[in-house]
Amino acid sequence: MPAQNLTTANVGIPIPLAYGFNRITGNQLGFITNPPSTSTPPYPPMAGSFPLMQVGFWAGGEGEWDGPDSVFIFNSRMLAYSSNGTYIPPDPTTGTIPPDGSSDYTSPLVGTLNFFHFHPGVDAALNGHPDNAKQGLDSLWGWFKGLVTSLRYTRTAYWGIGWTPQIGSSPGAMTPVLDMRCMRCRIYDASGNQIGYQFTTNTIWHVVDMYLRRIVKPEYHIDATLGPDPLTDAERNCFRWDLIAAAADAFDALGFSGSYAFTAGGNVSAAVEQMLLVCRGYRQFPAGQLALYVDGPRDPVFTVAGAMLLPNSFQADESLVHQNPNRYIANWLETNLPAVCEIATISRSGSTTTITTTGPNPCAEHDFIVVGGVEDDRFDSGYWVQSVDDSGVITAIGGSAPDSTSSAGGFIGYLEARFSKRAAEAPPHQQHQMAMGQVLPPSAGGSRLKRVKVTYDYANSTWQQAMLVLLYERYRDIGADVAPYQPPQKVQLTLWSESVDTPGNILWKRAICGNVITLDETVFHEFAGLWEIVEVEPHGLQVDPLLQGGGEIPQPSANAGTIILTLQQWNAARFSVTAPVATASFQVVPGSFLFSGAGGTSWAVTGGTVTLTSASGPPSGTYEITVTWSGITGTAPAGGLLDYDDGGVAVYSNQFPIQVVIYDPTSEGGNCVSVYPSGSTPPGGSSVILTVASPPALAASASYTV
Amino acid sequence: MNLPPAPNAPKATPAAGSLAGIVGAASGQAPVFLLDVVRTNGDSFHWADAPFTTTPVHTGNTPAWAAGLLNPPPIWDNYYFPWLMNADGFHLYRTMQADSATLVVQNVTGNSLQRDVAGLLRGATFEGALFAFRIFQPESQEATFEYHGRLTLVSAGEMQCQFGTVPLFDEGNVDANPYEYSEMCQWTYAHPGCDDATNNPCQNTYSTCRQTNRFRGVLNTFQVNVGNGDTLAQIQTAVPNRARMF
Repeated sequence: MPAQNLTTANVGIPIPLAYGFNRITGNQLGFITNPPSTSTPPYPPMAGSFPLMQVGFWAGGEGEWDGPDSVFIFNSRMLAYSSNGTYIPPDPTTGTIPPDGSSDYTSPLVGTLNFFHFHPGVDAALNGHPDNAKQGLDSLWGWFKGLVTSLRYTRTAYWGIGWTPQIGSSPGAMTPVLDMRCMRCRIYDASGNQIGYQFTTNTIWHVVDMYLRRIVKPEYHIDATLGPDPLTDAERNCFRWDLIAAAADAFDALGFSGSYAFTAGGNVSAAVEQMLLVCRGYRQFPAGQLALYVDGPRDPVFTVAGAMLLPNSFQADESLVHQNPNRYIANWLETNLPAVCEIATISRSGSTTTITTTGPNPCAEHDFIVVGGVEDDRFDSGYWVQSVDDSGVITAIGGSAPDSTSSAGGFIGYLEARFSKRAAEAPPHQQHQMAMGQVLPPSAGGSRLKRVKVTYDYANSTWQQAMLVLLYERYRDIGADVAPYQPPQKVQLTLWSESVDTPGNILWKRAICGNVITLDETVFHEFAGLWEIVEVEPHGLQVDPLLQGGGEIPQPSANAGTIILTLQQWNAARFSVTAPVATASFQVVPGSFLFSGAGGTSWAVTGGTVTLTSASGPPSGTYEITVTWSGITGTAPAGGLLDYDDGGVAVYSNQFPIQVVIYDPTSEGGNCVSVYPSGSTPPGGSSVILTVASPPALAASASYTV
Repeated sequence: MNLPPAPNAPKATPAAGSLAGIVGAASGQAPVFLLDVVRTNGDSFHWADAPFTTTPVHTGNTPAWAAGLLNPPPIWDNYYFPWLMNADGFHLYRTMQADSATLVVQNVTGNSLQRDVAGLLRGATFEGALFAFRIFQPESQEATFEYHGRLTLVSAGEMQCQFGTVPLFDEGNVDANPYEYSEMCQWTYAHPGCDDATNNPCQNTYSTCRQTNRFRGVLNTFQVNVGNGDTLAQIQTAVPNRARMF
């Protein structure tokens, strides 16, 4: 009997809720170290000769999750590769890397990944029913020799790992870390029809999932095949799908990506606030329905004239100036790959790629590096480092550039460095700091700045997104940093609630927080312009006996039939701020952005064929495959049909899995289908229409209907 | 972006009978204030500032109290009793701050033994009852303002009963992570996550679970603890002050 804890779950802590891309350690549920064995089942559970085997289970969070991108053990990437270097991806159905996959190329330095089984966290089958492939009883439980109760961990995303440390090393128990594509979310069209159930980095669908999961439909079943229970009509009517779908499209148009994990047990309000923070989002409940918005340029919806105003009810102030800080700091975990060095030259000869860098580089034998931003983008790919000579010249295998080609430029990064912690501050807002810090008159010379900081947590993000949203917040709070300082003002005024403006807009219908309205010059000449509604106080009922000193004589309330609006000065310039140029330490590998695609509402492929045709030789090693597509049609976000030109491209057998994606034809010149091999990332705004896990055999072909 | 109309631009005239025309008219029928309430036991109530009949937002069961009415409405859910005295304090925010309001209904009607609202309160709670409040234009049969939430009882007096409101979705009082890693199953018995159909509630333990495949907990059934670096129970070491007077 092993003198160790076999079941090690940390109990009494919340089961995390995670969306988008996250780096996960998980809650270790069970762990055992088995000595080398050549015996037969049941111990070990399969016939064969096994070295020392560490086996463990880890729980990630509440399901359903999509799957892992990378597995690291002791800081080394552990993914199964075949003996010719072909990546063996997780089985798309079971999430399992085949146990018979050779691990020659995983990481010879720290150990061998023997098994990796992923369970996404759907509901396990009921007793008496056949296990489902996704959430069945994991075969790795056999290594625990019947000492513990094996569980399916229904509705919890978890994984089992069997790993052997490198002979001669003594690394102790493995500590796996995973880069994970987390929650799958339901996606709806503008009429409330569910049109997808998939992994997404679109924050709007994360928020919808949060409200569904916790408030509107907290009790539901996730079927391994069918996904979550559909909404009833009453549940569907809790949402303003037209506004939500528009917000989701606005999110995609910004090229933003939302990734965050909630582990500390806060409330839904705090979680939604965090999610909406990363995309300038806000929510309202018109007529009791959830509506989501992504703040952006928009037209005014009502014009206030002086006749609508209660006399002497107009008040303006600059409270935003003294209420707000002036040092805006963003914290985030970088979802791009930080660049570790810049490429001077890169060339390919046979299957070997040679890279020189403009300065020193940290690369070493067995490293898996990612190259991006090369002038010839055929070099943008993942590579295994074979050697680094004394002058720093890197020799690597992998990649897809043709033989005898060369190029220059680009950067090198490491997958291990993704999710690096970042903190950056917006440029100082000197005008606000002066407004807050003046002690002596300006004539005394010098400047006395008062610096008050505020920190925003943007979860997992990028420099570009974090800084854009941070500067948006700053602009909205304290305005532009220009002299003379004109901070955004606030106005409170009381209007007759039954006002109708000249074009026939009804104030009652337009008095919704977030709407932009116009104050015309008859309201207040100096304050005429565009304003955003930030608070609404409608006064409804016309009698108020409470005010009659205990008597019950109905009399109109003083404020009957009025609406108090609190407005904030509207300036669409806050949407056109640009992120500062990143310092060198924030340089990332181009093309390494984590983005799930359009999130379901942008591009829907309606038909077409993709064909892969393999070359006939050579008999071993890497061989060429031609990918052609024809007749691909799709539906654009606005509903128009798109007809993509037929085309093709060549890839190599060691570049799988490949992704076939579509783009917006208006920005990509018409032929919008392209292929992205392993290690490269499709651009933001594209949609993956097909993933092919492994190449066809030599001289064979495969055809896929999309 | 649209610019505001020039001062001399011709005015658009809302169509007669349209909501804009009715709302913007210099005189006309005043709006009514409608309140639909559904308690968690399914009983529905419909109150307004004047007797009124229209299609409700919420429907439900006719409460037992209605059996004692001298002239019960022919369709319970369509008739609004003139009990609503005050609907005010609405405050809506662009931020995540919770919206709020105050609603007051009369507690004068009844009989010599019991006032109506007091009797309803004694019968079943209004806490958490769904409500929909509307400012309603009788002419166009359309609401100009609609607000949904849940009621919470602030005070019930001899003359009136005051309700506060809780936001319908009330995100601030809902756990984002309601489930924990625990040796107790996290499901509610027979709900969809559990789905046991034996109609024999468990005690949320693995030992009493009849759908062990669906058991949503963790089991630390094999722990050695001593010598493995685990945190031991903290023992109180402070000396108790036995001379303390209570």
